[in-house]
Amino acid sequence: MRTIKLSINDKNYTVSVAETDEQKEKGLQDKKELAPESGMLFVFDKTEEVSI
Amino acid sequence: MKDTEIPLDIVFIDEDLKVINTHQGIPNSEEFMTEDNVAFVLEVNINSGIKKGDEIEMQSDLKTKQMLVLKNDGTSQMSLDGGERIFSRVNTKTLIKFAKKADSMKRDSDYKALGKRVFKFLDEQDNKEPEYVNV
Repeated sequence: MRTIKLSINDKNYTVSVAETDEQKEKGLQDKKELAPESGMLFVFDKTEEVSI
Repeated sequence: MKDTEIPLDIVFIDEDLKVINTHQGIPNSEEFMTEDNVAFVLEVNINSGIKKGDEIEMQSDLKTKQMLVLKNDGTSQMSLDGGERIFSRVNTKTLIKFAKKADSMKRDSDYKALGKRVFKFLDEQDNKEPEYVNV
């Protein structure tokens, strides 16, 4: 899974990118903790209604 | 948040990279959070301070999709982010042959021949109609 750098309100994050259905389905399941300034970005093919 | 054990901020983002809304995800909750016109969802540790209207800056354009190079059995052997080139097996062998010759002879003419061949193959790719494979 690739990672990209994001910046929000001058705070930098390095996040994994979930692009395939499999990656999105799995998401952050099974993870016990998340390092500060990390996370996961889910990318949708087109703009749509999304339920998480 | 089913099967998710970490308390998260779930940030819904539109295609202009503006935050639509941030929801707090409760571990193992069966409840769904829904927003419309979503292009991205970002999950980070809870209490991130990210709120509606905030803008996300991204280092690279994610709408360029990643391409996977498959092995014979259909599994991925490498991924491309865009900008890379792949040569066919035959063309690669030709380039290796020219490169080996140039490397052993150290003659300008052999390096030139290699360069010419590389550009010929690139030019062929640029002018070829796209071909798609059904999977």
